[in-house]
Amino acid sequence: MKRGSDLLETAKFAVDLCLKAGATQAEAGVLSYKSYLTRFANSEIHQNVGEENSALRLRFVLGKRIAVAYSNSLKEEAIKNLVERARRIAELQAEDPDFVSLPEPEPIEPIPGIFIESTAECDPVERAEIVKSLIERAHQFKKVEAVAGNCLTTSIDAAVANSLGVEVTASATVARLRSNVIAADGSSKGYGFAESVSRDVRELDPEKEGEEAARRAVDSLHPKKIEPGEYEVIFLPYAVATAMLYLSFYGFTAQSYQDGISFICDYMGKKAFAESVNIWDDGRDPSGMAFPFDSEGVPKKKVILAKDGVPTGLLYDSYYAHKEGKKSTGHSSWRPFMFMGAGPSHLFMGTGDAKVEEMIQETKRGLLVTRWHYVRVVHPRKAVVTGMTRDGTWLVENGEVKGPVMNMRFTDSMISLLANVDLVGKEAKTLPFGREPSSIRVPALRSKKFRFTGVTEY
Amino acid sequence: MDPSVAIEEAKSTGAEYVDVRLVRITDERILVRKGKLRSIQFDESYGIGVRVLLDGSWGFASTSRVDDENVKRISREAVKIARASSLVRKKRVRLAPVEPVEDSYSTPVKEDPFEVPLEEKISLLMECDDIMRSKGSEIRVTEASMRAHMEEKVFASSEGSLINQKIVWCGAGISATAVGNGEVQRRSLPASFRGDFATAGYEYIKSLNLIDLAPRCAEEAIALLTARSCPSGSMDIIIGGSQLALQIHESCGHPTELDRVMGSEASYAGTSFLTTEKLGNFRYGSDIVNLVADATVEKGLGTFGYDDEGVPAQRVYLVKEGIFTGYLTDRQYAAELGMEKSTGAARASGWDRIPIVRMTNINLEPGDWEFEELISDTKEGLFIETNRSWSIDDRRLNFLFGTEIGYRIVNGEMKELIKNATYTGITYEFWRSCDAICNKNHWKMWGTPNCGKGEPPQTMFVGHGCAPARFRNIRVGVGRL
Repeated sequence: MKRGSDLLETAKFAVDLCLKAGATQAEAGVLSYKSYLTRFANSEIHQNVGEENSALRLRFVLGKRIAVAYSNSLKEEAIKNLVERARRIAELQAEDPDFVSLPEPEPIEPIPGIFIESTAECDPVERAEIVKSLIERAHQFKKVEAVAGNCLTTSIDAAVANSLGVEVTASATVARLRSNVIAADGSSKGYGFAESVSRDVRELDPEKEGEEAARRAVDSLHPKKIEPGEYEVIFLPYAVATAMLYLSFYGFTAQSYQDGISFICDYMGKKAFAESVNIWDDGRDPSGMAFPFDSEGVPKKKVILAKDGVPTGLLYDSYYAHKEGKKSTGHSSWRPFMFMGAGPSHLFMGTGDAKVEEMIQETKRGLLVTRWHYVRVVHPRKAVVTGMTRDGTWLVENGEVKGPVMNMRFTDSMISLLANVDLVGKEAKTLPFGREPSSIRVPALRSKKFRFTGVTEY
Repeated sequence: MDPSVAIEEAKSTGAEYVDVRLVRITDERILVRKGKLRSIQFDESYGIGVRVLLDGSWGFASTSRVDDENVKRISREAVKIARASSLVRKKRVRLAPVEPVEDSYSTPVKEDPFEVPLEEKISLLMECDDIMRSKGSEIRVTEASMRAHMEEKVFASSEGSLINQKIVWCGAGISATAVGNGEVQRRSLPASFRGDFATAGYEYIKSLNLIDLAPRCAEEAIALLTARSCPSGSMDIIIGGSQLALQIHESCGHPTELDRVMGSEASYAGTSFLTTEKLGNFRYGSDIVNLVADATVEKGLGTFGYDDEGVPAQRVYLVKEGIFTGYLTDRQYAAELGMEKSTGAARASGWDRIPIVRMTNINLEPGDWEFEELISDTKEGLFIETNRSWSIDDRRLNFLFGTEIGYRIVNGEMKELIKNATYTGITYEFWRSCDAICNKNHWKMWGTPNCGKGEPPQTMFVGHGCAPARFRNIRVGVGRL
């Protein structure tokens, strides 16, 4: 596989070909990756896969006409064909008056320690040993019936070049471990979950994760059905991470704001959330899965999205930034689905001073929720989402966990959820999202009220 | 590239069974947005995947570098991965038998969508977009998009199969988003999520009559801004075809995937309530509910000649006269359940993914009602259409769907427009409440190219045939909208 400097040479080669073919500007982004995933279910490995692939994204610009073409071949002949195809597409394009330019080069400091050889070279036997340890630890809980999950090791090399002088390259690794444990007692089932991410596969702790998920599964056996309605809720970081992702993808992107679809349109610069809510995106913070630049080769900038409960910022790629006379914040995604602009890549939520135990003690009648499942936006402008709780939901009464309850459906606004936050967790957890080096680091939260609209049968 | 190179290499290093898929995917997407050609995206992916069984465990490796040296290397790697799998194994994988075959299949195409001049495609989309934008200043975002996809693949197995297939599908859609009155409302036609798709040529895109749909699309988006909100309570609902297609997808298609039932997807979207002891005796729906998995239906987005394990396309009942009767399977899980053969639903999204159990075309058979009869037979209720949001729990029981548009039905007549419609229920209670399905004149295949499943993720294209149907006493108007 091609690595750093070779990839950059490939990108520069593609850019040169575009210019020779008449492009006024050109950009080539190249990704090369090796990814291995060992998946397990029913306490055995049932799928075990590896892939090595490349992706070349070419932007061919003719004045204000832009064409995009992709290929997974980095062979010279394939690149020539791709350039020719991009040129033909560009010629067919109508002018886009909003297009100003590809991004200008900016200095980028490398981020040390984001590529770990032991992860890049991780052997399938090593992943199997990790999985085995996790399964064995979970089964030390007698009522554990089945363990599922996956262990992923990925290495990514990226390079971007454009005709304005952008020339960047970086390599990174990601190791991830996820587990879903099912406990059984008679006809009752209990479900538990745990997940972690690291640069270094050696830092994954399968025993700790197996124990966490198994304990949750056993503790959620024999759930009771309770009535839907408004409850105080303690959300563990897994649930908070999903909420923040939906909030950011639908709310904090320049495109949704410029289109008038984002809830931020009603709240920019105004108090929307509780004062303890602080959200930002920072691709250079090493406590996340840091990466120095985006798919346009623009350095990742720290963007404060909400400060003391007030939405203050948006995430931009160069196209949507230039429309407002601004500079990109470095949030053009690596493989943007053609219908989306910029997106979050390294989200953070500020911590507070409460332990989860203290949140429980402070709760009169509420729910403790591990995860959100199958979340969908019902109304984007109001940030109303629906989804289910999953892998452990408990009733809390008078400061104590009373016992597990059947999973509940929620349908409520995330603005309301965050406006009602009164306790923020002391510790944050870094979790993965997406396939590229991206992450989200969030604490647990307690919200004074959140609306549940249904209940399922387990 | 001769796939036997991979088979021989893997067998020589210990594999008991090997299959190889050599795949080239060509994909073209065109998007017109707010009067501008926002993007033409051309995508090509070529590579090879080698799957092996060794000592009863699976291994898979894949590469985009398709030459003898690399193919042999990843074949050995697949064997090495399978050996590692066997370190954490409880039972040996067995495969339901399949007759080895040498054959080929191509989607019947009248007009190759990749050969239609780009100018013609762009012009169609621009015209739709222009029409929608002309309908009022409330229209803030308009989109018209088109996609064509071609999958050329060779499947070869150590059992002697050699199958060439060329699957072509395409489709298009338009949407208008109106902003005003403190509301954002979007209409999408003929369906949400970029439109409607079929295994067919460009003739299918022409048949969608997008230009005729464009005025209605924008007008309805504007009208929704001032429409009344969906009432809250329980009432009868009639669900239009494109929304019902997604209902079938989530509440019948996914829960009948046998790998999901067996726990294979526990770490991702979850398992299924349709556990094996229910097969043949569980009342899934009312007597009139007949659901079939049919990979042979003309133009279905999930139509093919053979699945990605070389099993011929089939038509299989999942629910017959309301009783749950069948599963979507691959060879492994068919054998695990003791079935004589797979129902032919193993599909991989590309050369870099393993085949897993997927939907083909999951169709609700037509009933005998005319649509107008159904409306006039409904005293009080809602007609709802076009999906806006969808969510279902991790055993496929509790669901909540939102639709883009709805109408109140009062004393057998469609009355006022309603916005922000939602409905919720428990899957089997919902299907048991189905008391009327429109006839074949109203039956249509819908295509969904964005079904997600598996880790690493796979996006699959599947079809759903259905006609509008009525469900009694359903909870609607959920949440504060």
